[in-house]
Amino acid sequence: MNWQLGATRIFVQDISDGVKAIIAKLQPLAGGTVYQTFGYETSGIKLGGLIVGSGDMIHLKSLTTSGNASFELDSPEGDLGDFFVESVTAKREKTISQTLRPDLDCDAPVYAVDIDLLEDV
Amino acid sequence: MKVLYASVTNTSQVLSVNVTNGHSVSMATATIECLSTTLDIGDPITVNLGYTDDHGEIFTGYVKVIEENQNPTTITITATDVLIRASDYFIVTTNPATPLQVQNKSPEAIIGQLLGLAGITDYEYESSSYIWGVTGPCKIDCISSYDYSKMLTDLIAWQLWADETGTVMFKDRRPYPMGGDSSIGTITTPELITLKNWKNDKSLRNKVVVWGQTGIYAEAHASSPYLPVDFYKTAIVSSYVIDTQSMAQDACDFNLEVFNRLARGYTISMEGKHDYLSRKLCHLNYTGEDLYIFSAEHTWSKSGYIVNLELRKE
Repeated sequence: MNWQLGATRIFVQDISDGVKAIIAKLQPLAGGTVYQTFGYETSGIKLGGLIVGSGDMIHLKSLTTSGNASFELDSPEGDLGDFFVESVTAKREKTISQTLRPDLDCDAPVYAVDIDLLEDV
Repeated sequence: MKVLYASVTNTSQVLSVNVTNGHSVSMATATIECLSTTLDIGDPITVNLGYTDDHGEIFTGYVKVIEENQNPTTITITATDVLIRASDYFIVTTNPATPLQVQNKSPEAIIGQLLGLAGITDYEYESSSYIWGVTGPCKIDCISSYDYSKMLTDLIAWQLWADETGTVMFKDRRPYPMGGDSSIGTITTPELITLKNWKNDKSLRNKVVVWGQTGIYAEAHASSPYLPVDFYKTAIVSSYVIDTQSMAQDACDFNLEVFNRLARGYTISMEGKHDYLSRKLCHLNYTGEDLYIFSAEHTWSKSGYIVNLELRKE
């Protein structure tokens, strides 16, 4: 099974995730920094990969304008959960003939994308 | 590491809290930003702030404004302390010929009566040893319960305020440390974030004139080392409640004692502590002084819990 985000196919090349505590730092006149914990940020995932074809690119970008909807992220290991699409950054690659998607024309555009996802909890 | 804690009546997912109060402010105000609340206008509200292992009530009042903001979707609640009930209670007689009258009563008794009209019964006071309405009844009409009570308070340079638990206080509370004050705690230097030392003559008045009923007036003045010889900055107190010469003179003397002085103090920003509230006394290690908390602002958010204090030594 391929990677898919909201039914858009992505050729994932790298993936990273992380969590973050929200910690306020107060610097007193004397002594070390004082830390105050406010809570934590829900985990997010950063995906880097390739998108082939204008149709998938347009669909992927539309996921950022879907209001409060979240989308399922499927991987070869299975369903990774639902995510909000925070940002999509795309750069068109210099290609002559693509073979990633044989179902598309060989001159279909190829985009290198970076996608920021926020977990829907 | 301290874990921030905030609890607001019938409210969840609190994003930020701001509570301000001060000696020269009539009422404390709380502003809460949150994601969810079932509070409605007029509902009682308390704010409990601090850290998971050390927190306390810093505000009790009533909800006055609720704003639902879009983008981002948040709710902002504004509340005012319990004295707002006295401020909102306007005393108006149906028949102008028969206004509310009080006679031969102490200011604390009159204020208690007026607060009672507004439904405020949680009231503590000191005995003022004064009696108003001696030569005739004081007529109370077309004025709010708070405004009349505040006017009586100002005449003898006392203070009327609501504390963090919602109890209204009427006491001889000067804007500087007084004999008998006890400190609520020590602000250590590692807790200080910023500190400013200042003095000014903004509130200095070395002459007080009091006008009462017809033919009743008095004056008190004193020299000030901060003003030229025979130069007077004058304050006036005027009220028909003053109906004897001795009351007029006392009002002059009390107010002159409070006002004929420079304001000296510190403005500090410190790590948040819930019990540092206005009209209390604290010890500042940095200067080794006991100081009066003239005003306090508690700000709580993801940027941390910080208290901004104006501290006065005189």
